[in-house]
Amino acid sequence: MSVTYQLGISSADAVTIYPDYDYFGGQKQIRSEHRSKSGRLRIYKWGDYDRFKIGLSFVPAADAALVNSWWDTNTKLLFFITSDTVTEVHSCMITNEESPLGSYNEPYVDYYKGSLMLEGY
Amino acid sequence: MLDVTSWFMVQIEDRSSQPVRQFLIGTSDYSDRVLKWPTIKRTANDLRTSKITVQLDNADGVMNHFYAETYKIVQRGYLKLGFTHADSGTEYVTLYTGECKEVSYKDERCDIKMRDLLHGLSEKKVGDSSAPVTMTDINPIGAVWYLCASYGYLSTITSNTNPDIDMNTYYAVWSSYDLDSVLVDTRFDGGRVIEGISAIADHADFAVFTGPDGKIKFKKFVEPDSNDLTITHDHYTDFQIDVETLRLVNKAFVDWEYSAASDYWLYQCYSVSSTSVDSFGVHDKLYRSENVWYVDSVSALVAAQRMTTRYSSPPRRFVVNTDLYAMLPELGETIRLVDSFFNITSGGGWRLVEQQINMDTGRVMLEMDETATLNGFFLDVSNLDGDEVLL
Repeated sequence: MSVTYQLGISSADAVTIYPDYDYFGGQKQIRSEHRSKSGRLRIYKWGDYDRFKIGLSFVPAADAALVNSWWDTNTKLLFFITSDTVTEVHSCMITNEESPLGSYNEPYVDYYKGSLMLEGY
Repeated sequence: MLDVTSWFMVQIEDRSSQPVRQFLIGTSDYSDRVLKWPTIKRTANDLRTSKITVQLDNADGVMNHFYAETYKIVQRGYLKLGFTHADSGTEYVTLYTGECKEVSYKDERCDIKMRDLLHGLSEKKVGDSSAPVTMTDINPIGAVWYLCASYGYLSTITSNTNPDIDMNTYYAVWSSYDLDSVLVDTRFDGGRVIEGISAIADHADFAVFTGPDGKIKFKKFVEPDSNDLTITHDHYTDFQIDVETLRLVNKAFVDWEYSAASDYWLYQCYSVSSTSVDSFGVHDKLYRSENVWYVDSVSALVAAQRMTTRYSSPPRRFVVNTDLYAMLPELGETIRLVDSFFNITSGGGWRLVEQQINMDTGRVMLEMDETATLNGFFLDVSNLDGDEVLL
């Protein structure tokens, strides 16, 4: 069973990416915790959002430029995770502080590497 | 207690729940834009307007209409908290109602500042020095009503449909003074309406505050007939006790029958608690005001005795940090505390005088006051020959 990861404004223009093994995907909760004097715990979950951290290597220059332009323009994206016939779709934006794919992937100068931070909106 | 369903009660007692919050301006829902939810503070300790700031996201400029068309800021805002039922939708309880008064923009943020109804009373005056407003032989809370209605421009509806004043609490306090035949005269010569109300509330000793629904409420603390909520060490994260001898009053003087022309008070009476004086020494306090004064010795003596009843022993004050479990009680209601170390049992009740609800974390701070849980007072004329002496 293979899993395919795609990122784009829509499924038509999505680029396929190949996460490294340090891939992290999940949700982050917004919550607060209260531990009473007797030790009882009370947790309020106020909300949650999707969060992905994706290490990437050997990204073709054209795809890297596209991803960097989405980051630059703060574009609302869709992240598709397809497992066999089932596709999860996550609405997200790139939240990197710097351009996500800015380094050459040695020994090539037409492939890039970097890390992609995606968060739901 | 705020009115909620039994299902809602189950949710706030649940140790794992998913509360939802709502911020409305008029009928527009801006909940999704809130960056930081405010802390709502309400107190009966003094007459203070409750103001809060809600931080909203404005990265897309959608909130710009408040400064582009400034009249849009003049709207009523609501803060609500609730839980979403699987079948019947979200049940909200309103925690704050106020008027949007200010808006400020910084970077991608838009801050909305709201004030409650009491703030409006600080923007209006009553009387002036050449033509002071006077009232004679009036129930103290009746004088407050007159100030609110005639000079604060609040609603004059005398039933529960009054949108500005909680008439149930008004009539309860009115009856209390009427039962004791307490009457005052008042004189206002240009101060703010809020200052006039504060003078009456201080002199006659009742609390004024705004409730979660935005209405002005009144409370005269008397002996509770029931306790509304029990808090044990299963609920609180911090617990503090203050014993304040500074608030001790065991000899209370009340000046009455003020003569504005001569600028002095014609009479004085006092009440003394001999037991307290024997234990703590004399702690005098003089109560008098140029804006409000009692018209006869009975009224003044009721006030003096009430003070020595409330403050004759060092009052204890409890500050408890807890969670949403304690968000439903309103100011003036009584709470049972249980703490084995301090040997506080559920046998006694403590009056809620200050409440802070942090809508960002769900943390709730309660301040409870022993003096506000006093025994009911009735004037016993046989006492007039004892420690309480008319001068």
